[in-house]
Amino acid sequence: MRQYVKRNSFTIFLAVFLSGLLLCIPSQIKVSLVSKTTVSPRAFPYVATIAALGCCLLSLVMDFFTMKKEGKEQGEEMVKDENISYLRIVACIALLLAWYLAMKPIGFIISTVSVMFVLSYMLGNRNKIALAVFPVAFTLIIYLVFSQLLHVNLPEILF
Amino acid sequence: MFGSIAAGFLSLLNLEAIFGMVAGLAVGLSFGAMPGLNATIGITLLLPVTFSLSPGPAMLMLIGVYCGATFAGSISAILIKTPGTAAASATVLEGYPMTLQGKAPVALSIALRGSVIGGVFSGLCLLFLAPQVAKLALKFGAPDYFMLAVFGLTIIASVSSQHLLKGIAMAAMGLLATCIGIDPLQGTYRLTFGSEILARGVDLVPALIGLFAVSELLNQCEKKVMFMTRPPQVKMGHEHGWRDMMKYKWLMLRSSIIGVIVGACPGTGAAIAAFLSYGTAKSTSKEPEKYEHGSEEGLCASETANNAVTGATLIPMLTLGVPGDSVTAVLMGALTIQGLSPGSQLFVKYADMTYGVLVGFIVIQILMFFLGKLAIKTFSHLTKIPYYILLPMVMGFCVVGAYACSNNTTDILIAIVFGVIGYLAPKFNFPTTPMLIGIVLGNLAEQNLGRTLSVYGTPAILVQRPISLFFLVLSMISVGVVLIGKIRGKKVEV
Repeated sequence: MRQYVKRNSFTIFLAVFLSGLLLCIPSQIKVSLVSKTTVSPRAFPYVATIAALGCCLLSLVMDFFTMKKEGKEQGEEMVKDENISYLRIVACIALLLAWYLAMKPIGFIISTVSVMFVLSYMLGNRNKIALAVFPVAFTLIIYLVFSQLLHVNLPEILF
Repeated sequence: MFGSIAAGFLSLLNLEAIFGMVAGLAVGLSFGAMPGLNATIGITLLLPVTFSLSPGPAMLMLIGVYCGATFAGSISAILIKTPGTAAASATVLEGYPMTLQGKAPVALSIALRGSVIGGVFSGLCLLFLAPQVAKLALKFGAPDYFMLAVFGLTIIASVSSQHLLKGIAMAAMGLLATCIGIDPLQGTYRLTFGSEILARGVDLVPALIGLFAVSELLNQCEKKVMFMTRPPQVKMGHEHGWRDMMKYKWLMLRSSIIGVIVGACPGTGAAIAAFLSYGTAKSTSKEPEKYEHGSEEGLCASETANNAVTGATLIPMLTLGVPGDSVTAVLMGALTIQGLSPGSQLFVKYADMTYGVLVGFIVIQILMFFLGKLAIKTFSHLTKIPYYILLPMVMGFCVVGAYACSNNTTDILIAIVFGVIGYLAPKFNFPTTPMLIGIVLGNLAEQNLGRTLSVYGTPAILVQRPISLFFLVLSMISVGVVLIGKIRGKKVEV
């Protein structure tokens, strides 16, 4: 059972999420009188949610019987890869979120230089000159191209 | 007509026209290859430059940007799994696996030659069949667009044949993502949970960046041993020539036709054409098992179709004044700035200039072959950059590209969320391509179903109109072929 839950954890998460969403649809989408003459605004979300939920549940049921048929030991096991660093993944996602959150308050240049530096170091850059030059040079090029040439209003506070 | 074509060709033989085509292509190739930049940005940037040019060369310059960017999106898709433009989203499925197998030059040469063939085919349609194709495109009503979207959704069956249920679930999730924000028919807020971020809805570009580029960054980050790693090296030389491409002649013809039909229908786009062509190629292939593992056929189908769209989108724009997408809308603006208005007058009063542009479109495709080779050589140096520099660079372009979609930081958050989905889902055998197809086709399907029911009052119209019935039959064939293949496969296994 533990093995089954482990290898279907994403499917179970999706099924729970979609069930919750299905219950939320009536409160999240108000139906107006116009909808009587055309497709209700709830129709597509309902169809999509039910289809996704149905497929997840069916997939769970089929996988249960497959595992039962093949036997617990013979079932397809998720091999734990020793070379995967989950900490690095979490750190990378946190860094991207920090970039998103910091861009408005501290501006594009400072946030991007900082993120480029940390990301480059995280990915294995140990060359001090490259670590110092790359984030600054790249950020300035990007800034000049998008802000000055393409007139994209990048967030600017300090710079 | 042939007199006008000859006069049009002669009008190209001047420095201004040649400069327009070459400069436009160079800008287009550079912009398309950079994730986050696209044809619309390139055309908008060059628009002020065209004020000082004559109308013909001005249009050729902007068309050069359009064609160059549409092809060049495939360069970064193939080399670093980051589609430069939405049109290259199907290309990444076969192009990047080929790069991992050390076949990047083959993939790039197939993409270039397929794009040139698709472009020339659509240019010939534009030149000889524009009025007829425009008439056919005008016959497309809401029920036909809806069935076209349904046919597009049936591709899910072929791109997720290994895990069909999970593929359908992901496609439904993609459709669900398009439902977030303001309802396109009634303006009601949907699934926003009171959040301003969700109220803005989910754009295709941030989702595409997230599903492919951000997820690839996370995939690279997870490796503990990566201090010496570089992207798969590209050594130019072993590429496909025109003779090698001959084995795909029927595939390219079919993909070009799909591209032209889809492109001529306003409101569709190159991404839809590429996925339709890719799905059709897979369902009719003798080697479907090679797809998503570096299939040359799949790559050729998607690249030919997405470039065949370029000429076709100009058909309703030039003949009827109906811009099919943002690029043609800007092109139409450029035409108006030059003091010309689209329609029959363009083909009568300004025949020399108009036919010059139409012939120039085909010349641009030929020039693109040579400039494209140069662009491939230049951008292949990207793979010499170590991951610890390349990935942050790609990330920087992607984040700014996502932001530039609507000058809003929320698109960055959307890209991150889709990146996490794109990273986690394949680890549990949930394919991400169906989700992208769902996002691409969601709005088209919903809007046109709504229009169909409000205009005709009954879904029965879907089987009463010849065009929608045609797409319905195609959809049934598409699903049927995959299901029969699966049943046969199971019997063989037993």
